[in-house]
Amino acid sequence: MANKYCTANNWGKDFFTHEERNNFYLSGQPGNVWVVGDNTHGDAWIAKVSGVSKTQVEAQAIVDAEIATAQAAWDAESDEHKALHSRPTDITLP
Amino acid sequence: MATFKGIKGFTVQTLSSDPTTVDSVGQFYFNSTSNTFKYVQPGTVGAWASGGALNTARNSLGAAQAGTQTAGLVFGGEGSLKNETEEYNGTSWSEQNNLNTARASIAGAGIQTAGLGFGGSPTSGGTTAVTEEYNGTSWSEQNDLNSARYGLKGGGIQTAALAFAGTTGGSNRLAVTEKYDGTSWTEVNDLNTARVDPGGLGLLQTNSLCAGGNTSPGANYISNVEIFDGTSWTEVANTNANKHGAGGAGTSTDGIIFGGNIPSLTAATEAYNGTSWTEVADLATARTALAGAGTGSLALAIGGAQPANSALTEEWTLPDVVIKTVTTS
Repeated sequence: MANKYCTANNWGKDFFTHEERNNFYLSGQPGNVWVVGDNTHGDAWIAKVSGVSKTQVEAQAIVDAEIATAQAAWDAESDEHKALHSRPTDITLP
Repeated sequence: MATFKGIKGFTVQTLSSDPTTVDSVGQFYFNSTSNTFKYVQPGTVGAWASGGALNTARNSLGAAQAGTQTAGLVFGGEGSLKNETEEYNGTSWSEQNNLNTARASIAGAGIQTAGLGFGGSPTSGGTTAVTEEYNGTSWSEQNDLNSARYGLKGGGIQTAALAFAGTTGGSNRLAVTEKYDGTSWTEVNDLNTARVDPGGLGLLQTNSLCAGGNTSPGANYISNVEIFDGTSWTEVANTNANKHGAGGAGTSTDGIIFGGNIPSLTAATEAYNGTSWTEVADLATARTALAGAGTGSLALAIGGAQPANSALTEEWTLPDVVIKTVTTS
C-alpha cells in the first residue's frame, strides 16, 4: 500500500471523520506527522487539513526526533516510573 | 423500457433524508436530496473519528466510565501531577473545578453529573486511597478505598462502583477488588490474576471487565481477560495481543479495548461480544495510558502518551446502519 506523508495540526472535532477513516488509511504519529493512504480521498483530506507534504525520509526524521526526546525523558525518570512505563520504542513509518 | 412499478407493482419510495434506524435495514429508496438511489445495510464496521482536544494534555487520567460521547468527564493524570477536571459536550472539552487531590493513575466510574474518582498516585511512586465524588460542579471527599493503590481500574456508577487491580509500587501487583455503595468500599473476591494498568471497562458493577495489564516490572504484559458478575471474577477468552495501558468502554458482553503498549505503542482496537475478541478499526493515533468511556458502539478514547502527553480525543461509532448508494456502470 502506497502512502503519502504530511504534517498537520489536529484541530479536534472533524479533523478526520468516520467516513474519511473508512475511505483511506490514516495514522497519526509523533510530531504531528500523518501517514495518509495514497488515493483521491487521502489527497482530499490532506487539502482539507492544509497538510504540509513531506517525503517519507523527512517525516521519519520528525518522528525520530520526537522519540529521541521521549526516550531521553524516560531515561531520566525514577525507577518507580520505569517499572510501570515502557521506554518509548522507535517507530518506523509504514 | 420496463419500469420498477411495472415489475413490482409499486414505485420506489422517496425519502428526503437517509434512514438511521436498524428497522430500515433492507430498504431500497430514492433520496430526493442527493437525487440518488440508495439502500440500507446493517452497520458492521465501526470507525474512530477525531473529537475535541483536551485543554490539558495528559496520560494516566481517570474518566467517568459510564459517560457518553456527548457527556464525558475526565480528571487527574500526569505529565506533572494533574488535578484538572474537564467535561465533554460532544464537540469540545471545558475546564471545571479541580479534584481536591491531584494524582496520576487514578480510576473512575459514573457519569458526567455523578462521577467518582478513586485511588491513584499523588506523588512519584506514592499511593492514595482517597475517593472523591463529582456532582456535575465540584468534587467532595468520601470514604477511602480499603487498599491504597495506583494503576487500578474502575467500572459502574457513583452509587455502585467497582475498583480492581493496581499496585502499591515496585514489583507489587494487586488482585484486590472493592465495591462502592455510594458511601463506603467493601472488599470482595480478588481477580484471579494480579496486575497493574489493565484495560478496564464496565457500565455497571456487574458487567465490568479487566483485560491485559502488567504482572511484573518490565514489559511483562498479558492478554488474560476476566469479567465480574457482581460476586466473583471469571477468566474468559484472551485478547488477541498482550497489552498494557489500554483504554476500555462498554460492558462484558459488548465492549472494546483500544490502544496501549504491546510493548510498542499500538492503535489496535479489539471488540468483545461476550464470547470472543475481534480486531476492528484502529485508533488514528497509537497511544497508551489513555482513558475510555461510553459503550461498545459509542465510545471515547481520551488523552494518553504518544509518547508525549496527548490531548487527543477520538470518538468510536459503530453505526446501526450503513447507507449505500446505487451506482450504474
